[in-house]
Amino acid sequence: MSETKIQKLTLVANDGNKIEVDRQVAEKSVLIKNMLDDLGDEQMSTEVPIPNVNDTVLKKVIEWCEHHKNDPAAPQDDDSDSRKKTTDIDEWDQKFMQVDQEMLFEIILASNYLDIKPLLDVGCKTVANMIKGKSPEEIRKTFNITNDFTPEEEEQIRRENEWAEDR
Amino acid sequence: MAGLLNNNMERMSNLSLKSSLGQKHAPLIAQKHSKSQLPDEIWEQILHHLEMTDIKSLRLASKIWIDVGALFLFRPFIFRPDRNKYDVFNKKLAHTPIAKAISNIRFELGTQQIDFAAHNIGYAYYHALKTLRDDPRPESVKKAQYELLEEDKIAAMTEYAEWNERWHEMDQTYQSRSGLEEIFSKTEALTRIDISYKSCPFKSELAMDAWMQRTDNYNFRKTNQEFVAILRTLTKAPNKLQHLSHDQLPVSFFMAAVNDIVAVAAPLHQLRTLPLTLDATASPHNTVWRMLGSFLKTLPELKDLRLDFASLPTRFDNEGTWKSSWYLAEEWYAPLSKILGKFTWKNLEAVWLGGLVLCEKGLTQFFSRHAKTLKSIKLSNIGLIHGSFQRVFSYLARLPLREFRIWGYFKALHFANEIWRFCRCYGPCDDNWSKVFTQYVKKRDSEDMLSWRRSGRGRLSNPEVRAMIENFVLQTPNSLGEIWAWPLMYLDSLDRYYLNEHSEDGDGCTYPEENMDALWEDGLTRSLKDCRDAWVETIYGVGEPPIIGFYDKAGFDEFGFDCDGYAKGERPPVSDQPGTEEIRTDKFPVTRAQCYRIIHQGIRCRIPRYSELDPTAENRVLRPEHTRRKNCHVMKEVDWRD
Repeated sequence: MSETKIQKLTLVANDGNKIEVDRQVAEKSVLIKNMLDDLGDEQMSTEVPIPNVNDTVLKKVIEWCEHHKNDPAAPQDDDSDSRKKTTDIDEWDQKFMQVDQEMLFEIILASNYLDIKPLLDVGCKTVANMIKGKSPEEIRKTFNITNDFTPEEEEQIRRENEWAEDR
Repeated sequence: MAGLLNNNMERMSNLSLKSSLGQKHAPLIAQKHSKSQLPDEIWEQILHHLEMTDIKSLRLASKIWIDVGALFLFRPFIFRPDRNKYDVFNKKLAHTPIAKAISNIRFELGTQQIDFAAHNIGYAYYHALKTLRDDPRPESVKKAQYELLEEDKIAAMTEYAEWNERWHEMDQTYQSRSGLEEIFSKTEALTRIDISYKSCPFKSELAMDAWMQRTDNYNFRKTNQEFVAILRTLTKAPNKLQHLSHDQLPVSFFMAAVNDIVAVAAPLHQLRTLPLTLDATASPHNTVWRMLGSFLKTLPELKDLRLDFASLPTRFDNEGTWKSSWYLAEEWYAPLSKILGKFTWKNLEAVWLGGLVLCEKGLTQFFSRHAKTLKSIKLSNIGLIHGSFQRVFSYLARLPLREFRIWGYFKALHFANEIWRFCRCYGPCDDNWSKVFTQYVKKRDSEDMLSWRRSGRGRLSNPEVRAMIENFVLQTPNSLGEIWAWPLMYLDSLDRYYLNEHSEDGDGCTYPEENMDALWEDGLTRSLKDCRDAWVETIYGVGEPPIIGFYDKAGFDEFGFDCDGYAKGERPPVSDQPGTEEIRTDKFPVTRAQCYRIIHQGIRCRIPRYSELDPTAENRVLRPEHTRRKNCHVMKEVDWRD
């Protein structure tokens, strides 16, 4: 079976641009992997449209998959709070994520759509690090948004926050 | 998340679909940044990585994060005696989707009355001063440390005083079902309850230390009633509880009648995870073990069981009091075969046993009954009254375990060369303690281990010994099922235990196993009155008149201090009465009584209802006619009625 497997795939971004990629790299996407498994190689030997991701973002995602193609699969049941709470990011990934905010969000959306959990995780941690330790005003500046609360609404949220214990 | 990702397949299967994520999700960032929007599901993932303070800031930054942030405010929903969380829940949350989504409730119910707190903070302060005195670093460094300690002392007294006032004002009880019923009936998604008496809201190290120390058995009755109230209320509520933890359950809980135990355990039938840390001030009555067995046997679905003991008053040295003598070990003996019989949990994957005195046969039979399912075993502070660890571990080496950890003190009392003491580098912490508290406990743990080494109280085993044992157990047997030879030598044992030493085939054994088990059976008939943890009393607490302490006929409290904080024989001349005494804590020797006085007075002056009291006034200081304190409920048997 493995002998007949195609080794290269052509992904088509939503703006029509085509990107050739190693199958091993493309299969970092669980979505693509499942599709290849379900549909079989013959049907996939032509082109694989990725309708929700544009060319620039898709190339960036493929760059990440290339770098991490040999990473072992993450344990499925590692869903503990301690893992979730860490925002440590591998040095290469940190550099990879040094992009403008729009691109960062696009990468997160693409990794979610393509079901690339480790990349989604890195993206989420990067955004979390942008929020950590900041005041509400600093968060607004970071995301370039305005304060949309009336003083009464703000007071209400402050009261609600009070009900929860800081841990 | 899984659901979201599953949807991808559906979307992908229709490749001609001209949808975009932008159209699918409502905009979360202001319109002008529409390209930078993220759906709620993604924000939920991001918020998982944030602490509560960040989540609160995020909710205050913009309306777009109010709802997604709210999902994290009560994960878990925490009840504390100094916060009116009943009101918050009933008046603000009960009819909102947030209440329905609460799946995890934590009860952090540890309380300390003023004289206990003064004693415990004073004890921690005394220790810190002593450590500083013995610190070999230069005086200039020590001076800076001393100033930090003084700041922390002020913070501890202030934090405790503020907490005490809130506790008094809230006047909440968790010992009856009335408030809890409303909560449990509204939290339809509830699957997890954690009960903690250790974790506390303080940031001062001395105040955290006060909660870390054990409160002796004066809170046993209150703690038991709170546990029973929670369990009883659960019987009335629709629930599918899968996780229950308790970090300080008094052994006296298991001194009740078997029918009561089984009845309160009824709502736990579906329980998967049970981390249960018991608290005892003396060797538990044998009834405790038997009832514990009856309790555990009502939980057939258990996958993960932790059973150990809370730390001892000697700070973090939680090795179990059984270690000091053969006779104590005999009293602590918990024969698994008598406790559980042949009961088997069909799905038991992980077990953690700590602070117990067991025997090789009981332990091996227990592991053998669960050999097909067990994946993880953790053992801490274990005494073996019969048999050897070598044989237990050799049995375990044949099981396909994924995890095996040992730490603390190990002693085979029936085998000459199996005494090891390992650092607790895997930590005694509860995963759910507050972050600050956990950090503090870990810091103290490593400091205490250092002071253990410096004090020469006893050697620690070479870390390689632990690694050798763990690797031995985790080995993969060869195709014939053979395992490596036992890797330890006699010299790897810290000492040679001579008592009861005899040949391996049992010749000359003074304490054969049958005799031990017969003795244990005899112990069951011993009156509960002989067990001091059965005589649990309730300390004075919330909503009471401002009584500053309880004193015996001779005028001394349980810690040996009189109403002015002087220890026996320590009282100064009349001219040096409180207020005029100059306490120079930077000059040694400093006594524990001095530290207690400083803290007691410091706390009292910070609590208005105490500050103007004359401590010597008869109506403010209880001097019971007998040594037993007034206003304390003395129990002849566990009373579980509301």
